[in-house]
Amino acid sequence: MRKRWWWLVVGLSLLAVGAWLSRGEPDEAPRQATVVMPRAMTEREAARAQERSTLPAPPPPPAAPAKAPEPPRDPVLAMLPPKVETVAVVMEVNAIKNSDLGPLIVDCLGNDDPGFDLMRDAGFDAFEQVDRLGIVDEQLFITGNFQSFTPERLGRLSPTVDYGPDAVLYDPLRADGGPTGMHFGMWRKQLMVGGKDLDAIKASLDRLRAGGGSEPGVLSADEAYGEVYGVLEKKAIQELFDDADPKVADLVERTASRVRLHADVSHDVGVVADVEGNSPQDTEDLRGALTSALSLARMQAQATGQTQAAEVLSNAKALALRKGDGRFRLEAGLPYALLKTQLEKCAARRKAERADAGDDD
Amino acid sequence: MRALLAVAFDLLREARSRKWFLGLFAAVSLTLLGLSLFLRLEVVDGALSASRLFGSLLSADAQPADVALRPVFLTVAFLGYVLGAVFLVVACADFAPGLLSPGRIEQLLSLPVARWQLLCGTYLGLLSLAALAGGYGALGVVVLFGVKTGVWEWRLLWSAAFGVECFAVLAAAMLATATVVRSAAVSAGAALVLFVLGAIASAQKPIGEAIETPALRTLFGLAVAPLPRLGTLCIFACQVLEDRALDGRAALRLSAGALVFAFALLAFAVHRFERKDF
Repeated sequence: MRKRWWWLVVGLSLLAVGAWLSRGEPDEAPRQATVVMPRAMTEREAARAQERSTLPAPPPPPAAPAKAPEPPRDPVLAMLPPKVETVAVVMEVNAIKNSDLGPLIVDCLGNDDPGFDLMRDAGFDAFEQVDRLGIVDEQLFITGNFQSFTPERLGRLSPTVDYGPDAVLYDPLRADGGPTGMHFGMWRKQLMVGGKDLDAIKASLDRLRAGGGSEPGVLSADEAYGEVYGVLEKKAIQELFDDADPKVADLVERTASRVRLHADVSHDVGVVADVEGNSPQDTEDLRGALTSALSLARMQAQATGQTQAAEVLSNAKALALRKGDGRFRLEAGLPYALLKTQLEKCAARRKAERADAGDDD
Repeated sequence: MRALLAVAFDLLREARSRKWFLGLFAAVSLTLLGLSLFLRLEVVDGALSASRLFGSLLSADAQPADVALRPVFLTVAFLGYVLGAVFLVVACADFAPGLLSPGRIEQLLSLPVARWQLLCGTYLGLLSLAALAGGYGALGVVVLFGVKTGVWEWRLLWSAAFGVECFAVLAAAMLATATVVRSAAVSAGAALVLFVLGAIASAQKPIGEAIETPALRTLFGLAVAPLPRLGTLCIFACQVLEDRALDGRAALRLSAGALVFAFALLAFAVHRFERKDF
């Protein structure tokens, strides 16, 4: 009889132990980072583009048939040439600075760098007054608020020369008074363009004065989305793959003709690159080769215990767009947590370097 | 121990003679065969360039094979856990009532086997059956995709183990019910109700937060506290396939909790069985 009750006691005891073991919640599983990919213009970006469209379009030629006037343009897009040799990329510096990673990027770049201090003395704070920064082949341009900027305060500057009603040109000089080979143009205290090719700078300022070139610029208004956007021509693409697997580099050289790039840096970093090839078959081959390269790199990262790299590579994809149109889309994402860690390291390293330099002084 | 194993083996022998279990293994085998014949996976250097099922293109986008197959394995783990448990409950529902049926029970009790050994041996037999079916299905999927794509997802065997553990709880509930009411339908019904309650117990935190009255919330907490977290075990069965997703300590604790709950039910069943007059 006692034995029969013993089973009941065991059962009740086990029930209590089971309840004790089943208490609490498991830890929330770390979710796979989902990175926002800039595949199209958002409403916010469309509103931004609308606000920037302040430059009146050029008047139609007198002989042309009457049609509705063209809407105003974004000065930066109007300034761009119809074709580039290597690259035309625009970075939304102000948006990047105000992104979640912005403060860390500023710390990493070194807000206290003497070069930036010199600019501040001349009335221009690069971290506060720059809106956009871009590269067009060998030319660099910066947009922002240059109202308080007095280049003369930088010293070693050639006398400024007026170039049309809205622009000035000036050249920085070496310490011995000789030319540096660099030229700068300032347009309406809103846009500065610099480089070694004075004619290219003048051409840019001419397009701005005219409200745009006779042909559409290399980047259209529809393509101005993301925090980084632009186009890379064949030469620039080849340079990117210089250090890659020679087979892939060779395939890229033979097949890829242009890449249209968009990057979202608002929280994580999502990069979308639309790759245009010479022919549909070549493009498909390139897509397959890149996918295999990504897979192998991912497996290699997994095998060597580089879990973060493997996670990043698992987010990278080469997607077919439309069958046979000779294009494909490459997408890659860098999660916020990974970037934050890297940028914090960079900022700490920079701080240590500055401290060492201070000690040496 | 030998008596226990003999009873378990006897159950397996009986299972082999039943068409249900032939059906179970045939269904698993046919699914695997169908997949192996009709699933066309084009894999080049670890990348899945295209996948076709019954000739239809599932996806034309090339991506790493293990990344592309991750949702497939997750689906297999989830369906294997839920459908496998339900199918085994229905298939095994009449084992315990059959054991207690007039004529048979008297014959069994005349053998030199203790009552608890009879019940625990039957339970062990049911578990062996579930482990065989789960292991066969999981191993089949691993080998099939391994041969076709080079991705050998051995962690599916862990998923199957979670599924077998879930059935261990439901089988104990079926045995305990059978000692009270000798009915296959009621046994299966009790197991399925426990399956649902186990899912509710897994969601006790959000449900508790949704209950506004504090007394009711406490009552609900007390009511579900002893129940095994069968829903959470299902999540574990899927998470075990993903890198870094599984909270190992919690998985061990909740798995142990579910097993201990099953043993508790088994103890109640033995208690009831020992007191029963035949």
